[in-house]
Amino acid sequence: MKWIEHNKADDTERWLGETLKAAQQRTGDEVARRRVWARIEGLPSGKDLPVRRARSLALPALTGALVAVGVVAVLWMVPATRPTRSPVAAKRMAPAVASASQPVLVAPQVASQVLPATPVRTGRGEKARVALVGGAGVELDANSVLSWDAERRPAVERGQARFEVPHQAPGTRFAVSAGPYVISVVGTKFHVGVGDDRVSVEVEEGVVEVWRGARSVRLVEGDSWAGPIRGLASPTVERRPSAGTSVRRTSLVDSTVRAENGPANVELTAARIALSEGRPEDALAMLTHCSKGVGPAAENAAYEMGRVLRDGLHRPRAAVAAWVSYRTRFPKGLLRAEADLSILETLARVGDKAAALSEAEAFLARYPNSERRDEVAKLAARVRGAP
Amino acid sequence: MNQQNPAGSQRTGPLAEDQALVERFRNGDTHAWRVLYERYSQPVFRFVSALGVPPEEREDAAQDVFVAVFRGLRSFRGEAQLSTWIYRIAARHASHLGRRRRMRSFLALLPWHEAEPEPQPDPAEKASELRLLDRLLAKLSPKKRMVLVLFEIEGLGVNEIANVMGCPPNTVWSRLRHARAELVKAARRIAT
Repeated sequence: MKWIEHNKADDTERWLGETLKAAQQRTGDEVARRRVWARIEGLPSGKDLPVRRARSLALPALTGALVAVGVVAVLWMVPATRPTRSPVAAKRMAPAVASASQPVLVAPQVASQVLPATPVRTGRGEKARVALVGGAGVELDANSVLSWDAERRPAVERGQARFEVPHQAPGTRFAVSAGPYVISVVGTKFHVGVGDDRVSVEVEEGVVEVWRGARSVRLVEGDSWAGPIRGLASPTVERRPSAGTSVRRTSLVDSTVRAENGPANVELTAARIALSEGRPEDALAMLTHCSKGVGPAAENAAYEMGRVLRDGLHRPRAAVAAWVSYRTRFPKGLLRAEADLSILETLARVGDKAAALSEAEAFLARYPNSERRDEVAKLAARVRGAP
Repeated sequence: MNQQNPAGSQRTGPLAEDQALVERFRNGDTHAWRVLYERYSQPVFRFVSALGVPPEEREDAAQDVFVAVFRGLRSFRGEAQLSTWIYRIAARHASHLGRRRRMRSFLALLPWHEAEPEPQPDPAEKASELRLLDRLLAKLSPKKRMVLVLFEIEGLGVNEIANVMGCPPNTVWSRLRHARAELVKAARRIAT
């Protein structure tokens, strides 16, 4: 028999019974549920499922913890020899090691924990070898910089790098970013070069895909390719086969329609990266392109255009127009509630009292059971009270 | 089983609907996937919340659960109820996240490790009683907490819980009894 159905012995048990009953009525955040749906709606079948890779924490953390416990014990037993270096400085020893003149192999567990926060730089005549998660490795040539992007992918910022990627588990891909491009592989050896105005890729073994937004080019063994860093679109890029075969020219292919879910999501991801790197115009262009497609990615892009306009480009009126356009196009869209809220918040922020109140009333009428109801009602009250 | 919970164990209607839904999904009916999500997303969100997954991780947790459900539905043999199977996936994932959080908490004790920010309460969660309940549930061991949540909040029967947790029904009863006792004790301590 359920506790809540018992005759409770005292006030505490009565309170617990009632609170557990109240916990049964928790509905969760409606907008959060819609966001999750937007992400899983277009799941492709089988091995192509876009599962987020969990941050590899357990094993490296356990190893690190055991080592750390030993180090702490030693340090506390010998206080006089305790280092004065700050915790942050201690973490940043890695690049100093990695940028030594001799090639250095960094253990994978160290790479996964420390390196993503710390770019590896090589100077003149220096080389570095860095182990990456998933058994991959990269050799950095002289005068090169390797860092990690917002998606924790290795990013060649400058110079030349040769990657060796073992065959990845089904459903997973290894990706490297270089300028505005994302190089996606299953298992291969390839070189990436980033100059002042060009990114180049040469494939030693296997197959590589180079993505920019929703456009991609597929390179096979022996191919080399180069594309410009600046400019939004690179309609035609050179593709030079290895010696002995004829020269071909090919373009990045518009892949929004070609693939089910991945490429459009790649474009969304690229847009988010562009935004995080302070390139809101690029982000907006990618989102605009993506929003012209179909499916959940297009819907997400149509919604996110508003966020870029408001938060990245500081054009709140244009943002409201973008969200209104989203509502018109996706009247029953999964992000409809979020778009409604965003419009309301933005109108309140720019001081458009009448429009904000009208939006608030419409929201309360449309979502009578929303968990954001109180929040919207308070916002409406604040707008009403504003001079 | 409370009426709010679509993951019911005693209702034949939803059970038959679940079977039909799985069949439709297997036959390529994409609308069935949406219906399934609408039916189980609230229980999954509620369940992972009650198991202590912080608000900022709930979306990702729910996403991972449904990706696993999507992957497994074609090979779902129907030996357990669909709801039990989904709870089992969610329970396994919430346990995994819990272990990661405990590991992070442990690492945060190390002198050079940057402390993790304290999890913020869910802004959508207004009731202070429910927040207090979460604090009390956090004092239970993960296994006791899961039993209590599945029984008292999710409304599963003991046999179903045993199926979700992979332990004998008597163990479920035992954990439930201890969990209730510890919860009352913790609540009384706070009340005084």
